[in-house]
Amino acid sequence: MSRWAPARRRRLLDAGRVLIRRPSGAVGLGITVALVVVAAAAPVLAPHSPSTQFTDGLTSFGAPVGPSRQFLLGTDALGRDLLSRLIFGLRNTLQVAVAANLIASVIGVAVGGIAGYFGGWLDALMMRLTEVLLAVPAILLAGFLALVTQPSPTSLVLIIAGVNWYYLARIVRGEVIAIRVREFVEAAVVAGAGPWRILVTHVLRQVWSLVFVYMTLQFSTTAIFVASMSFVGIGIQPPTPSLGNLIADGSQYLTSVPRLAIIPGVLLAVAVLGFNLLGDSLRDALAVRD
Amino acid sequence: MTRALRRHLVAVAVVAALASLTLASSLSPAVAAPARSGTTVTAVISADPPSLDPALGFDPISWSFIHASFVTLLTFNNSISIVPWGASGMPSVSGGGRVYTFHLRRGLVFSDGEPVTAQDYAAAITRILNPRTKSLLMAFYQIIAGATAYSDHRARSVSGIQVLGADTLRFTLVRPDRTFLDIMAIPNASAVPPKVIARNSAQFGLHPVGDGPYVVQSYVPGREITLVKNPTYFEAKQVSVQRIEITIGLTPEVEALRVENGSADVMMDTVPTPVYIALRTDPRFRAYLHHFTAIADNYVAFNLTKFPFTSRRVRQAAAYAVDDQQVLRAISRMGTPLTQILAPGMPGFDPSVEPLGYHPERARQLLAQAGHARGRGLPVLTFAVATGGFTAGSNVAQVVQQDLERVGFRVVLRVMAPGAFLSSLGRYPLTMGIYGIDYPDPYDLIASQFACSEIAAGNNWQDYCNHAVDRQLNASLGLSLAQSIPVYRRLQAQIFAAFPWIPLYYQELWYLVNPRIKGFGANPIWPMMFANWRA
Repeated sequence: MSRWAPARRRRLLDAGRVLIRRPSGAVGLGITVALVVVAAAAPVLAPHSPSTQFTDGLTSFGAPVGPSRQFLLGTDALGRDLLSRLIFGLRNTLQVAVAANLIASVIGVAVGGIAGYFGGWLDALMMRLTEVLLAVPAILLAGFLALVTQPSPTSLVLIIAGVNWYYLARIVRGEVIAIRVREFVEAAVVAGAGPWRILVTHVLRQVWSLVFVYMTLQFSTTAIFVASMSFVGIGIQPPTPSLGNLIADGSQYLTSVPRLAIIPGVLLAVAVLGFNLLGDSLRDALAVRD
Repeated sequence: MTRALRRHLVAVAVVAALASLTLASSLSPAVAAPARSGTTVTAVISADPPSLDPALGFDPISWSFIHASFVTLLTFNNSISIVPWGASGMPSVSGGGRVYTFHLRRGLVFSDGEPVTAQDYAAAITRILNPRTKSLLMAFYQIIAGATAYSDHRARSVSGIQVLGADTLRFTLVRPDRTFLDIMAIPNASAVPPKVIARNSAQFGLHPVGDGPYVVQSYVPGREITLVKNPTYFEAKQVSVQRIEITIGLTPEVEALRVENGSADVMMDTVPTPVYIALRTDPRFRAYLHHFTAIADNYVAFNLTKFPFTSRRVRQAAAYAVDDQQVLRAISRMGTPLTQILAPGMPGFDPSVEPLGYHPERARQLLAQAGHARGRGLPVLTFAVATGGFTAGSNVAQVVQQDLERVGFRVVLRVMAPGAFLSSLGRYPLTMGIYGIDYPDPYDLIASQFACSEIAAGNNWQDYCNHAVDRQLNASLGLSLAQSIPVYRRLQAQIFAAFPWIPLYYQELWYLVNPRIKGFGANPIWPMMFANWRA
């Protein structure tokens, strides 16, 4: 065990206490934990399968039925239990958002770290590529990729990750440029450490808190992106629910059955609120620690 | 409360307030007041008509505008009978059913003052047959003698089109073909002014000059079209509405709201299912709703060349597995079960034919007999569906998917934009299908969807090919309509017995129209009959 471990653990605990003592941090953490628990326990919590179309889930004229003991939030346009679809929709959206965010973060840290540490033509090439990709609207690029690939949850995760790493790469690059001239890095060079070891062991370790905060804040952006892709029909395919396609399907019924759009919309808004509050508070708590 | 929490809560509150305001205003539209008094009618539509050029427009909306702007020699009345219009009477038929001679009525004048002559009709058909025009209608008119040679650049003109005088025109066909009168009644067979075409053929669709009831006064793509009554139209006295202002680019939901709150008179798109659900039980809008049964088939096409649907037993199992009543509920009962290839309103439709029905147990037995008990040995089937109302849509597809999976099939949906969908035809084992008529002859519905030649043309989505059926279809064109009906009924029964489809429904089209507009009767072939409206 490193001789830094006890001190680092103490600092993390201090940051955690600061986070929880702030009302915004507590609320954000509470919402995030609640949503993650609901998503993880979806098969247990959902009263029905999200895809089962119940014959008694529609009126004789095909309109959704309202809330009842059997369907606590009523049904959707195909007679499926709305509550079950919400729970599984949250789960599917979070799964894709978390996985995509993690992969995007790995790519962003790698690109930004390499560009910032090694500099020169490598830095120029990577940053120019990043800037070109930044100029293309992400939803259009994602839409094009979705059209030319076989849609699946895996391809969706990779596509979203592929269009969401740019900003983190630029942020990490900036931090690494500042860190690489610090004395402890020079000491490592003098001690004979190789460049990759220095980059990974010494330099990137200094940016992890920034990356962690960015990842948390990005969860909400990625969740909205997943929802947006489903909203325009290029994300999670029916009948699999996602918050985006629930809102898209429900928006057609805004004047007749408004709950079909409002309830998933509110759930998405709460999720985004929770992630943003958590990210903001983490940034403040880790800054206080530093 | 921290500043961050306050900031986020304020943002959420603002968004919620905006959403509530929007919702409140949309949930309770005022009882509609007239958008305009007098003889101006306002209409709304979601997208531009694909083309106002008679040589190019080949969809119901384009046909509505072309029919309003141009005059064909013949036309369809609201009972879809062929009646003379630009012609003084029905053509004389000679030469064993191959020669059709038309006489023009007097008084036909283009809106720029030029008289309409037989040469203008001849030039219009020739223009369609010219490959440079890139008309989708070319194949229709290749029944005219010499048309193929002209289209292939082996002749300078179409030998089967003869102008016998200023008001006399003769067509000679390759063989007797009863449907020739139909293709002379569709809006594409309109006379066009040759001088205007010669000046700028490519832009004619944006600035059409015709001789019909209305003139396109202005057209800003994506924004608006304005039609004004054509004073030179030979039946101008019968046209009531002076001006029609059409706003383009609204979603159907917003179109419906505009009609409900009185800022528009006519919704030119059909009422979508969710809006229909809201309006159906609202007594304020009972008088606004008009409906017609589309002469069109909605179905799921099997690809007969792809496993497992090479097996008739498997196809039959899939057809029996789908609950047609649940499908109808998914579209709010805006339709009736599809029973045959011919649709209600089409000559030859047999109302005594019963729907296939829902028989899941029989479906399981058939699958077992085919060696796929409980779906054993069946691959995962991709079911292609187009978005945007192009086909029945993903809701109906999900009903079909669930029903198929209940008997053992495994189905994944592939929802695509219409362009990608059309280019994928023939690739997937299951395809959501729709076919609407081009003209009201049974030959159109049956041959277009099942003739061998229509596989390459992209209309035969089943890849169904039976040369014996093809021979009978071709022979039927030489018969009168009455003589051909028993042939088509026999052929459609034969085709249906092969289970090429999971039959779904005939769609009912609902329109929302301010009651101050009288005479709104959608023609089954093109939805809007502007010249019949009275305000």
